[in-house]
Amino acid sequence: MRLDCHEIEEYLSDYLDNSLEGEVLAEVRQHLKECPSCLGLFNEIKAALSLCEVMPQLDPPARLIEQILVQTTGKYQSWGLWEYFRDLFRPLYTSPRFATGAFLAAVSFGLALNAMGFSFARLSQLKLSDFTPRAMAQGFQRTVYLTYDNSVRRLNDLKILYEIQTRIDELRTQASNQPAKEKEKPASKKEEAKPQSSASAMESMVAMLWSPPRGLAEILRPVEGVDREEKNC
Amino acid sequence: MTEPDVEIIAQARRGDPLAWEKLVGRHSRRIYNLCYRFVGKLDQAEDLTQEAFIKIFRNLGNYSPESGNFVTWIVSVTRNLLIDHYRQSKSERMTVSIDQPLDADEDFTLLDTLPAGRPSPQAEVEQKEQAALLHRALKQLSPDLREAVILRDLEELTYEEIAVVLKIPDGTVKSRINRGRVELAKCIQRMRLQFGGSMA
Repeated sequence: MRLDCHEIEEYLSDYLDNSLEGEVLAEVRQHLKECPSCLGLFNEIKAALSLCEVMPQLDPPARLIEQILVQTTGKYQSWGLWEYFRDLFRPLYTSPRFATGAFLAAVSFGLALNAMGFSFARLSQLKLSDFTPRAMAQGFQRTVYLTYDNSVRRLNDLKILYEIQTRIDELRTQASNQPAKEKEKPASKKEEAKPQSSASAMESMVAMLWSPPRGLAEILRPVEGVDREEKNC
Repeated sequence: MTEPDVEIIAQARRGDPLAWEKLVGRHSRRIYNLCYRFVGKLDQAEDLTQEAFIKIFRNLGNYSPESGNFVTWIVSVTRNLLIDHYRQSKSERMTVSIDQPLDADEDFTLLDTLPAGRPSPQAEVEQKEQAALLHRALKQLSPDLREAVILRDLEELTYEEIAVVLKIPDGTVKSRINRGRVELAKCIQRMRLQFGGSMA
């Protein structure tokens, strides 16, 4: 018996399954040795079947099961607590991008809570009444006012410090220019001019510090002390 | 040890929703994969799986354990649905050309759904390409050959079970599987030649 390529094709699958015997088996073996085309096809079938074996099985989505149950019995899936949480947090462990987004959202939520006056340190002191919309709004309002107050105070402090620095620089400049003028003017006029200039500088400083912001009370105390001592003298 | 299907089926037939839920949970994977292998699209596979279970639920009273395996019965119900779907779908009748560029809806969806975690990214990409190639070749087979190959080589049903599902003699099952495998291999060969080294 002599089989052609077309006939051999029909036996290739059986040959792979080891279900050929006798003369046909010998014929197929011999043909595959001699025919590169049929051998190539045989190898391709073998490769395709190996691929079929390792093809992964897809998991049906949870919502599909849910839909099937609703469509058939009209009831939702009866989940245990663990299954419920696993499904709830499924996107977290299946998508790193979603996990990153969720983390950033949690951080933002924490910052918002903090802005509303919530503190983990005071967790044990919290009452149910602290979570009413009114209490949360008040907490938020308080934080906003405190932040605004602090910002204004610091800005004023900076303004005052800048003014003081400017005055000190002016005094220094005046002090360095004074010896040159003294040489030109007579001694009597020199004595009158010196207390006038220092007195006006001090007056302007006092005027400036007359109503200081509350935050600067500590900074200004020694300056006022020095001022009083100078006046007493 | 898991409860046998026979007891759960009996409970489900009496109208126990929990028993039905167990049956759906136990067999949904097989039916979903069968639909997906046949149509090659995830959204269609979901719709068909849903339809198949609705049909199974309505006909659960007609099933008797004496007449055969429950898995064979549900696969048979699903197969009938898939054939109906194939006949209704005009686009399915069109022969898919090898020259046609890769269809994003099919192959790339498949690539995305395959599980990750392979030994190396390159091996993973290769396996995904091979899987996409197999799916594309399967879609080019006639429905008779395609269902025979899917049931035998992907769903791993026995020849006898396939004969029951397809309602054809054992000899015809064998012949279809043989022809299906040869056609599948030839399709893959042609596609490898067409796409060159990228698919090899």
